[in-house]
Formats: sequence, C-alpha cells, structure tokens
Amino acid sequence: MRSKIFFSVVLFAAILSSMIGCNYVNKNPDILSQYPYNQVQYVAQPKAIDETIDVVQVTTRGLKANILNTIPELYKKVLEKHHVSEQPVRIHNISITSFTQKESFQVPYQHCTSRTSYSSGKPVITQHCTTLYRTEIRNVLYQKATADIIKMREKN
Amino acid sequence: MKKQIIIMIIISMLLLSCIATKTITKGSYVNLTSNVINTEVSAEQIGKIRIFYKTDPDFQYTEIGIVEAIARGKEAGLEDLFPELKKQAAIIGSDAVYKIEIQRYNQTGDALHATGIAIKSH
Repeated sequence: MRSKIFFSVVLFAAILSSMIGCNYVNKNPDILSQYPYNQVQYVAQPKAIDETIDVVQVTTRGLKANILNTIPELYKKVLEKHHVSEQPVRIHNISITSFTQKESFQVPYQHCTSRTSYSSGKPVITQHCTTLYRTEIRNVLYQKATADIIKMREKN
Repeated sequence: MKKQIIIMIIISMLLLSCIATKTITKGSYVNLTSNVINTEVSAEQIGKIRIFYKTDPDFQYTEIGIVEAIARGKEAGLEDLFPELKKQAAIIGSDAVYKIEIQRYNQTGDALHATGIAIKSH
C-alpha cells in the first residue's frame, strides 16, 4: 500500500515536471492594456497634423531582454518623460532591435586537494576544498526599443 | 512488481521526453492596439501568416503588435523561429510579420532570438 502511494506521488511529480519542462505555450499578459501602460496610446496611422516631438529609447539586457519586459519599460519611460496631464501620450513607429555583446563572467568552481596521513599505521585522508573562479566569455543579448512621441501640431 | 516496473518506465519516458528534444522554442507577443486575442489558433491560420524577412510588405498595412520567438539548443535555426513568430502573429490576428531581427547568443546555453512587427493588411 505504501509503495503504491509512493509510486503515485512520483508519477504525478513526473507528469507535472514534464508538463512544465515542455511548456511551449507562453501565457502573455496583455500588460499594455493595464494601468499605467494604458496611458500610452499607440497610433498606427498618424495624421498629417501630427508631429514627432521626441524619440524615447530603452535598452534591456540579459534575461530581461525580451519584449514582455522591454516594451513595458519603453512605455514607462514614455510616461516618465511626457505624461503631464490626464491626456494619454501618443506614440508611433515602435522599432525593436537586438544585439549581442561579449562579456566576461566569473564562474565559481571547487578546487579540492586531499592528503593522506597515517595514524597508528592506518591511512587517514583529509580533504581541503576552496572556491576558485574562472573567467568565461559569453554573448549577452541586448534589446533596444525606440518610439516616436507624437503630438498634434499647434495652429499658428 | 510488474506494475511498478511499468510505472518506472513511464516515469523515465516522461522525464526524458523533454531532455531528448533538441530545440525548445517559445514565443510571446505584445499587443500594441486593442486586438482580439485568439487563444487557440489552427495550423491553417498559422500557415496563412506571411513572413517578410529582409523585405517590405507588398500591401498597405497597420502595425498591430510585436512578436518574439526564442529557440534554445545548438541545432536551433530559422525553421524553429519563423513558425513561432507566425503562431504569435496569428494569436493577435495579424496577417504578416516584418522588420524581423535575429540574434544568436550563448547566455545560458545556445539560443536564437527573433523579434518582428506584426501587421494587418487594410
């Protein structure tokens, strides 16, 4: 009975880990429709009376270099720079580019030495371990996003 | 005993199923306009999405979102990225993807990364 429960638990854990490991479906939160990001209005087709007043840019690095992180960061910066009234900030012409940069990382590893001594004729092994670091060069991903801030041209 | 052996085999198969996969691909999208999200997209819908890689669309369009695909593994190639970009584009109801940018890097293992702008024809 006990072994049956054990196997059931292991089987459940295996199925669960398999599902997590093979999870190709990415649940995208529709983050831009939420506050404060919804204070930014993306204009797909600007009108002739619209003019670009600024260009805002953000760069994300490493594990944060993905659109679910970069675009909200861009929207945050847009709001920081241009959100002054209750009016939404209008943006246009979003562009996203990625690049890699070689960076060095310190990777820790254990270096162990053992020594054999004899006590009453019997061998006694003592081990001494220290943490050392080796330098590894990796290509780190960067993601850069830019957007034009547009405003209706004021009449003269 | 026989039952337990069978269970152990199933467990091993389940655990190995992911390790054995050479390339793991995942994707995401950012909805720039209020598009209706298709939670389930068919292979036919995905197949209809056009990819404009290093070319511009030959029709009038509106940008509606940004799509991204990441393929992890030494064997990862464009054949892994483009279907994922198309799938993400289908989810937000676009017709095509353009301005595609691809980068290979080895941050935490080999990976191939692509972003693109999802567009809808007029």
